[in-house]
Amino acid sequence: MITEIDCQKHNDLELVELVLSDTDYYACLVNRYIEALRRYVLRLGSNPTDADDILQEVFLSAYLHLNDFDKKLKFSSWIYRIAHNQTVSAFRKSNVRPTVELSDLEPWQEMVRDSCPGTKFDQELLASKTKAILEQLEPKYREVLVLKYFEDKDYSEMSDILKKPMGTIATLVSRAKRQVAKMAEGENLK
Amino acid sequence: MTSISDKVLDKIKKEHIRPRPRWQFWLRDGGQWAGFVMLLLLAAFALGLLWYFWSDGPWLHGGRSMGLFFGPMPLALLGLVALGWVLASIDFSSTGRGYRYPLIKIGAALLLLAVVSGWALNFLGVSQRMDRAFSNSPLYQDRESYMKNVWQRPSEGLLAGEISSVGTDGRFTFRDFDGRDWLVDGSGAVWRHGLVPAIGARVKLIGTPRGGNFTAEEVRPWMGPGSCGMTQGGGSCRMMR
Repeated sequence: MITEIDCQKHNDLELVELVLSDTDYYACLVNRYIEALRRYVLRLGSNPTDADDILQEVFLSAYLHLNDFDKKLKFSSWIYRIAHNQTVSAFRKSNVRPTVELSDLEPWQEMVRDSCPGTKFDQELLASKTKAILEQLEPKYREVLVLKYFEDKDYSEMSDILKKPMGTIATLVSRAKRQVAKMAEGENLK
Repeated sequence: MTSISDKVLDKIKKEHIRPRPRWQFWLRDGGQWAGFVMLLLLAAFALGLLWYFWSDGPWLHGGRSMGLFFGPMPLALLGLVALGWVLASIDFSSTGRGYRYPLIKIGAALLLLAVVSGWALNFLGVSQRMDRAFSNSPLYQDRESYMKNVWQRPSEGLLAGEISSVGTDGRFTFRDFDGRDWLVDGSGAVWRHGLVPAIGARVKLIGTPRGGNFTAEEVRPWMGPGSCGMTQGGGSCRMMR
C-alpha cells in the first residue's frame, strides 16, 4: 500500500517511472494533480458534473499514454495538455457552450484591471459585469487567460500545454486582453 | 483518496489496463519522421531537376525563350516542390516538439534546406542522372517536346538537332528537329562539357542564323553533360538514338 509519505518522497518524473512498474504509484500522481486539474477544467467552462467525467478520462488517458510522455517536458504541462484536449473535446461532443463559474471571481477581476491599465473601476459594477464579459470572451482567449492568471503558467508552459509557439501564445494573450478592455468599455465599467 | 482517483485506479486494476507499449509510440514517431524526410527529399530532388533544366536553358543568352521558362515541365516540377515542401512543413510542425516553432519559420528553414540540397544534387550530377533515368518513363513524355519547344527557335538563334557531317575548320552540317539542313560555322563556338564534333551527335546550338547558314557561339549536348557526342566517334550517340 502506497502512503502519502511514499508519494512525497518522489518527484513527478520518478513517479512516472515507478508507475510503469507498479500501478499503485499512479494514485500519487492522480492525488497530486486532481484538484488543480478540476479547477482548471471548471475554469475552462465545464460544469461540475461533467468535470468529474472529464477528469476520469484525463487520468485514464494519461495512464495509457505514459510511455509517450516526453521527459524533457514538465509532467504538469503534459497532464494539463491532456486535460485541455479532453475538455475541448467534451465541449464539442456535447455541443454546449462553456459556462462561466464565478466561484473565484477575484483573479478574473484582476485580469480585467490588468487589461485596462490606468483605469479606475467601479468595484461593484466590475463584480457584477465580470461574468458578462467572460461569457462573451472567445474560448481561445479564455484558455490563455485561465493559464496565465489562474494557473500561473509562464509562456513556455502555456506553449507546451496548448501546443502553440510561444510567440503565438504572447499574441493570443495580448489580443485577449485587448478584447477584454473593449468589452469593459462596452459594459461601461470605467 | 478522492473518489475520482479510486474510480480510475479501480478501473485500471479490474480491466487490467496497462500503459501502451513504448514501441507503438516509437513506430508512430518513426513513421512521422520518415514521412517528413521523404517529403523533403521529394522537394529537394524536384528542385535539383528544376535547377538542372534551368541551368541548361538558353535564358542567360539575351533572354532567349524566356516565355518558356515556366513551361509545363518546370511547372509540374514546381508543383512537386511545393507539395513536398508544404507537407514536410506541416509534418514537422506536428512532430513531438515541432509546435514550438512557428510554421512560417519551419517553412522558411525547410525551403532553404531544399534549395541547398537541390543545388547540391545538381552540382554532384545526381539531377542529370535522374533526368536520364526518367527519360523513358511515360511521366517524362513532355520533357523532349518541352526541350524542342525551347531550343528549336532559329529566329531567336537557337537550334536543336543532329550533326550530319563534320568538315574542317570547325564547320559541320546539321539537321534540326524540323528536318531543315544547316551549314554551321562552329569555329568560334564554345563546346560545352567536353563535347567534340561527332556525326550523329544530338546537340543544341546558340548563335546567329544567316539564311541556310548558322554561326554557332555555343554548342551543348542535347541532354546535358555526358550524353551523346561527348566522345570522338559518337559511340554513345548510337545508344541514345
